[in-house]
Amino acid sequence: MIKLVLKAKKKINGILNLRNISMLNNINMNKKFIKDIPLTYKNKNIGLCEVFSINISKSKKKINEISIIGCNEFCNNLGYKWKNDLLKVNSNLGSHIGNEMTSGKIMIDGSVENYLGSGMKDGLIIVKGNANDFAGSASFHSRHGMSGGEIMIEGNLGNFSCNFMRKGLMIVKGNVGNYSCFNMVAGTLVVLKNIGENTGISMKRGTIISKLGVVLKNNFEKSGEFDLGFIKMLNSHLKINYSIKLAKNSEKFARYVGDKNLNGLGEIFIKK
Amino acid sequence: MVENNTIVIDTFAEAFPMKASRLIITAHNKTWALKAAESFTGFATSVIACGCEAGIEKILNSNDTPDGRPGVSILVFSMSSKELAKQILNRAGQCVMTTPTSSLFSGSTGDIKINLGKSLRYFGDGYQISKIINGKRFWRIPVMDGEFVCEEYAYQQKAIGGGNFLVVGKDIDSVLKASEVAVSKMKKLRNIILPFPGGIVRSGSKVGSKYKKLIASTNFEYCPTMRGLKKLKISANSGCVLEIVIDGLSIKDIEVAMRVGIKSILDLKDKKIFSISAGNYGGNLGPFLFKLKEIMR
Repeated sequence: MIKLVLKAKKKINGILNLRNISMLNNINMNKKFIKDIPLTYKNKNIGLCEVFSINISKSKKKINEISIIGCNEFCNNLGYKWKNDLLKVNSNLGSHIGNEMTSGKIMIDGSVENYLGSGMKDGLIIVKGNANDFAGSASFHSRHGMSGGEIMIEGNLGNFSCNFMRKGLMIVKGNVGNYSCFNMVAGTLVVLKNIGENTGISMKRGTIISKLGVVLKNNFEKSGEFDLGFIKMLNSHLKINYSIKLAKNSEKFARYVGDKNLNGLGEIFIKK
Repeated sequence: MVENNTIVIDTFAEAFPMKASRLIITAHNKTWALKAAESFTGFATSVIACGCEAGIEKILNSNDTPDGRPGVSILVFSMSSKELAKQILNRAGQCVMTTPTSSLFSGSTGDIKINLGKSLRYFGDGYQISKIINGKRFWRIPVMDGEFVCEEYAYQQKAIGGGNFLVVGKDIDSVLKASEVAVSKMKKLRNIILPFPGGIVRSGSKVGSKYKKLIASTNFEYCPTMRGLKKLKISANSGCVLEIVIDGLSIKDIEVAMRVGIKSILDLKDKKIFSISAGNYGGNLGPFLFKLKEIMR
């Protein structure tokens, strides 16, 4: 397969819309096509080659690998409807990363701004740094949050994450901000530190698992302390794929169900 | 072929194609995983009347199971896809879901799906929860000890049933002992099961009967008490015959199992074991012929 390296020619100091980078999923990895991929930089239409230098080489891997070097917080919409290929970024990124992604893998060696993986359908996003607000939530035009795939955030996650989430798994090694999982329909959020305030309001279904946190007493009812097979299975998955240990053997979690104001069947597990 | 005083008869075992599926049952500890597996594989000795043949393939430790708990791998064999799916679903619902602390997972992959959690979830009466982990969907069904976790599908694969060999000897003591040794060695192998009680069957059958309703009846050519009434395939001093039946996932798996089993009997050097033979129907029933001499070569 092909290994493609896109390196920023100069420092990016205005909004750069990288939405069309996803055209790489569909075209032959040919320099002629790649250099003409249309991008928007500071509200002007430009070709990809005006911002990035292009280096193509052959790779022994089974999937195409695209590396992007020299991006920053101004770079938005990368990985829009991304599929099949591996996308590697060595820097921070802006908003709407992996929006409506359908398969493949995005690895970000930095932090991202708002709307990470919003409307994501499948695939895997790994963020080495933090993610800001609205990760896994619905975009402006949609009432559908993340509906599949996995997002792994090694740092902290901002506010309003996983709102309207429908399926999928979000793993956060750090803390999660306030108002997460608002109107969650299904899916799983795993937090290895603390969940913020007002988590899970209007939850219909779905699961939040956190090591620490306070659950809203008016919205959730405690159903007991359990050592469930599902948590063991999830623990096994996290251990194998992310080297994360969610709980020790036979460690119990307190389970809260709600949002009871809506007769919701959502659940929040807090480690004892 | 004579080895250690025992004759390996120049004959063949006749086997036929089957459909199979591997399932993994886990539980809070090994005891309860085994109880669920034994219940699932109970009354599953022969497709003649049980609908399927099933057995425990291997006891798994915590590292080998999807949820990191002790578990048991079982194999289920049947003649048709429809019957396999029916037997698995019924047994999963009545034997595994009812066992305390148990969970049920598929142990194989394939293109043909068999409903597990997809059907059992309705027991949750609307409170069942679906989770997708690693691309597979699992169902969490609320039960009185917590939750029953069940994978959405098991998967069907091609398999072979009816590999066998017969242990012919002087009396029940020697033949039973030799058969037990063979079974203990064969049970260490993967991809096979020995579906009969203790891995051994005494009521070897032939196809058909003088009674029209019966599809199988006793294989009197190997019954010592029929001596004088019928022409037998065993020597005059043989007083007991036991059969070891093997179902496996491939020809090679059955060949290996037969070789290991027969060799373990020959290694006993028991003078009371006269011969090793095999059950067949003249090559008319199944397309898979396991020739004893070739296997032992």
